[in-house]
Amino acid sequence: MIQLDNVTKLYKTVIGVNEITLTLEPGTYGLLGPNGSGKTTLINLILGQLRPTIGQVRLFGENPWTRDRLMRRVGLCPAHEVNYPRVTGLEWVTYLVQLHGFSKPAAGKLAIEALEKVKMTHAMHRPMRNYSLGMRQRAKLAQAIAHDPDLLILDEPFNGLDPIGRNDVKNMLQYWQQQGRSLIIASHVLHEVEAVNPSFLLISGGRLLASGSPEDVRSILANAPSTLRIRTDKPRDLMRKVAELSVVDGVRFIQAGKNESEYVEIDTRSSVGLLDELPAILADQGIKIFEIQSADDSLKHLFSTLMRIHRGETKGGLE
Amino acid sequence: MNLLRSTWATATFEVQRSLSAQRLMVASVLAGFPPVMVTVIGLSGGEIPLTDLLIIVLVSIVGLLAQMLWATSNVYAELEGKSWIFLASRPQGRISLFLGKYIAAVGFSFAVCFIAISACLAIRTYLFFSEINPILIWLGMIGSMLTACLIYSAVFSVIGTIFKKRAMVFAAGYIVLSEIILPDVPAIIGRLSARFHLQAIAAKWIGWFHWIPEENYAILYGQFSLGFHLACVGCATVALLITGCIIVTRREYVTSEEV
Repeated sequence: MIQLDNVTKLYKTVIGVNEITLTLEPGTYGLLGPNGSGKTTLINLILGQLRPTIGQVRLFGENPWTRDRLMRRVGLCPAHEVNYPRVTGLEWVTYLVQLHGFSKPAAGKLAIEALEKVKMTHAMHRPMRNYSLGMRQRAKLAQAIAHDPDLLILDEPFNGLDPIGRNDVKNMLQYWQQQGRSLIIASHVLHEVEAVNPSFLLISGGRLLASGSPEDVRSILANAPSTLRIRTDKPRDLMRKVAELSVVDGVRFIQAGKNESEYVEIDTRSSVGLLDELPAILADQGIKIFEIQSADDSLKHLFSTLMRIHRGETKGGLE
Repeated sequence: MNLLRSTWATATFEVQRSLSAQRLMVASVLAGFPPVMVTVIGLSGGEIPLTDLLIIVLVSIVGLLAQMLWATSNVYAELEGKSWIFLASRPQGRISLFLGKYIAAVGFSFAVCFIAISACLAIRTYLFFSEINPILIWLGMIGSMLTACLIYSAVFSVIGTIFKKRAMVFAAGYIVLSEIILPDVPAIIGRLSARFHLQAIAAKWIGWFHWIPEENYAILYGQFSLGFHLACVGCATVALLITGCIIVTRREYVTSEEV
């Protein structure tokens, strides 16, 4: 479906994406990376909006830069906000469907169906200036699916959605998957993308650092150096015992304020290894644990780990 | 067929979404300026030839301003409004965007010129006695302005595809250099400007010969026929539109957020 062969994109002296080679068969993919990592550039290269500085891109076997008719088979929901205050959601979606070559009546019919799928029927005759962020997000989704594409590309699709909206979109995407259609979701929030159980493409600094299943990603997180924060009734006893473990690199006692809870912060080279040893220590010493949490933002931590693997500073990683 | 459909859809959507109070106010001010000036000149004792020239000059100025406002922002407005990617990621989306916005710009600017000319000639007919049927003058002016709108909107649309920012400044620069200075150069290069051909067309259609003698027409505009001047304007417009389509499809439009 999509092939990138040694693709590099430079914006003058700034690297957008760097030597990316990948082949994506039809399926569901989560394009995961921090803000500014090159996700949108990669999507624009796939869509033929940008021309690679080096390498070549193939979409459905053709060069998307020179074959814009391929866009008939693609639905895109960009991260950008739409700004047509005077236009109603129905008029906007109808217009965008018309650009796929449909007559106005046919486009109108498809637009109504799509707006119904994203639960926007009640608001589709309202000017978009009256839409909430979540409603605009739904309208954007509607314009992406209205012409019945083979491949749906969503850039940060959960932005601005409330929990109900997130659930609706998640259900819609799962339905899309069940129909055997292809899906690429770009996001910087791991658990949002996990909802549709995709194969992950992890990108950072313009480089494709890893790709694999959700289990592979969890495995990286579990076996990579990390910091755990534990709230316990006997912090000093816990510190003394865990400091003896081979998987522990450092231990700190944390108390933010006088009346604040006391924590033990443990730097470990393998959180799985630490959590395997921990129950025996707790049982022997009679220590109660109230809370265990990761001190790192999971995705930030994942990418810093992958960066270290990429630079050869630590072992591990995915194919 | 699909391209025509998409282009028309863009043009109608553009007109529909642009009918805001702000834009209508701007259009009203532009369309109202020439009639006000003609009234002032007429009441202060102006004469027919001078008044006709004034109408043409003023309507040309507001027509150019209207086109600068609406044609040069074709790409920039979409990039700024973050709607570019929605349109560009459609089959032939970039071309239909360019041509659709061109049609909308012609429509808007011609509407301004149409109202201004109609109002000016109504005032002229009321204030002055003329042997020439004002309807013929009106038809001549409307035809000339439509021709001017077609080519200048194409020029400004192309400028809009080349310069993502400050396109209006470059458009103003183009007017000064190519349409004010260049046509007055007494050499063959002066005939390369759109104004030279548009003036020749206007002189024929409006019948300026009631104050420009026929022999002077030949001195000013050569021995070329009306058809030649129309063909020059038509070919230039088509060439500009093709150029704009090529630029808009071959160019990468990157927003600062993507870099």
